[in-house]
Amino acid sequence: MIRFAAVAAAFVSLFVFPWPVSAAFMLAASLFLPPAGIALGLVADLSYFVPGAALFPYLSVWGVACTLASLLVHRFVKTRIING
Amino acid sequence: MKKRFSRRHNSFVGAYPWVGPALISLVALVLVMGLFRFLLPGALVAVSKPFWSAGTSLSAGVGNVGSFFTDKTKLANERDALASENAALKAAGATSAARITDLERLLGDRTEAGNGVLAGVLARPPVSPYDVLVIDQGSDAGIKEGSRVQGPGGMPLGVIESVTKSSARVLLYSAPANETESWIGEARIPVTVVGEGAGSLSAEVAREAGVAVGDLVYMMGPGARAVGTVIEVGNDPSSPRSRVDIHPLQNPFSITWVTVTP
Repeated sequence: MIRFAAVAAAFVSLFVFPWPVSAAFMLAASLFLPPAGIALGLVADLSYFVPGAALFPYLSVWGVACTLASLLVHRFVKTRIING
Repeated sequence: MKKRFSRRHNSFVGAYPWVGPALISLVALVLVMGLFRFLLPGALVAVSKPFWSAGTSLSAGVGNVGSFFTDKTKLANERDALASENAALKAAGATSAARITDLERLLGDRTEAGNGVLAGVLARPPVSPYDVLVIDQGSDAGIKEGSRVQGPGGMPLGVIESVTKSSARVLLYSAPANETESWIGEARIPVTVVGEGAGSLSAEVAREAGVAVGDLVYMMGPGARAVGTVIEVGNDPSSPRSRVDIHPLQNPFSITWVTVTP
């Protein structure tokens, strides 16, 4: 349930809040559900990015970074629990 | 009988069981998004529109709540200042109207009202991370890629970069590295204005051109339209050219309506 709420909040924030807040929501959502970072980044850039607006689609790259970071965190947390 | 197995292979699968499903999901996601963007471009906007509208209303509501807590004396002073400013503007407007009438008597009415499309702004910076506006009119209203977009008072803002049936994306002149031919000052010195992001612009002019702080910057084209003012002129003695920083007349963060000229 909390996973769904985090992803939904991050999705809505893309259209309501300034982008730094949305980026924070994306990070939080991907901590609960790692692929959400990539998905939300793609949605953001499909909504706002046009050729010439920037060198590269920032939020997609941020989404990938969030997903990778969250996968790393998940793995680290799991290892810590198993090793005691 | 002892079972033989590859330790390395099994350990990999055991350690990263999510790699396969994650890759498949990622590819599927990219395909779905590509479908949305290129085959059904209006679908994503249709989903996003209620959220953008709600966000705009929410922002306005939060602003009103803030004003409720403002000091009453300060509000009264502000009201008085606005009233006097309004009176001054009325006087200036009447003077301008009289002047226009006199000039039209002399020269005739050679300017006709533009046949622009009025569009509401659904999303703007900083909700949009780029210098891009999303507007609520599209190809159904006659908007095409490359159409010019003006803000209040006909101030040039940008160009339509992509369009769907009911929405369009506007690339602002202030987008990073976006170059626009312009004039600076009353002498109309031609320069290439470069976008710096977040609404700001810059240009490079010869040091002896005489550009000064406060000079207006006009977009090239019929009826030079002011887009910004010079706020800083670089003074590096080792360079024959000076960097000019330009502040936009219209803050892109607060644009609510635009006119699109097909």
